[in-house]
Amino acid sequence: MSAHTISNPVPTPEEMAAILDISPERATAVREIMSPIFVERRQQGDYIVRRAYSNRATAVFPTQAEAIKKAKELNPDRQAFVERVRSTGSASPDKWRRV
Amino acid sequence: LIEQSDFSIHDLSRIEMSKGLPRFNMPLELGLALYRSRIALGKHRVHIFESEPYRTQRSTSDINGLDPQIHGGTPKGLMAGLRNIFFQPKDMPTVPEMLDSYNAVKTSLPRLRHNAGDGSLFESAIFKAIAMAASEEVRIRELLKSAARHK
Repeated sequence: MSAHTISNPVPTPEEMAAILDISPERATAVREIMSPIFVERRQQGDYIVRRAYSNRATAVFPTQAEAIKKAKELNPDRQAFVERVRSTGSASPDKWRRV
Repeated sequence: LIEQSDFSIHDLSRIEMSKGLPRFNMPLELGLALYRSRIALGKHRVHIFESEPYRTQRSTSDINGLDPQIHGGTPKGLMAGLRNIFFQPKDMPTVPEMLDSYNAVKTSLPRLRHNAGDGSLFESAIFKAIAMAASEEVRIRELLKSAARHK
């Protein structure tokens, strides 16, 4: 039994909604449930909480801990992705850790 | 559905007892898919999954030419089987990555179900929501991988 080669593994949300025959509103509702929250440090030293696909900050906090707490409140079912801000030996800054 | 698909997956371990009777829908669908594969000259591929090795040789001996993927009744075994039958030239997800995605969808299941009316997992609305959620989960992982590569 030979394997199937997948050339286009991830359909766009619009393609997926069309394949499944669901409305754009329904697809958006599911995407919001699955959307992770990001915590990023800005150049000015504070921390923003941002939803995936959004360029705007949902909230801004002076400390990373406060930002992480907010991220968990916004979507308790999903892991938040926190930008690493220091080198830990095993992982460098500019990588994401999950909380 | 079978006519519209290039492949089908049949998990023969799902022949369970219901109200004292075994459910034969899965082998029935396997038979339809095998016929479809024959008349479509192999365009439709048939894949069989089982939880126990060698069981199909006893239960469904007519399909001895088809090697089943043995999942052992675990999500990890299932992911490994899926990875065996689907090939991606680059960035093939690992079994732990697939399990992460599985767990992410599983964790979100109560909210997905609630939004779809709290029905059975096999109702059309919730099934479609799960499929959409799984696709979204994969897309997010691709985005994160891509962002990490470009940083």
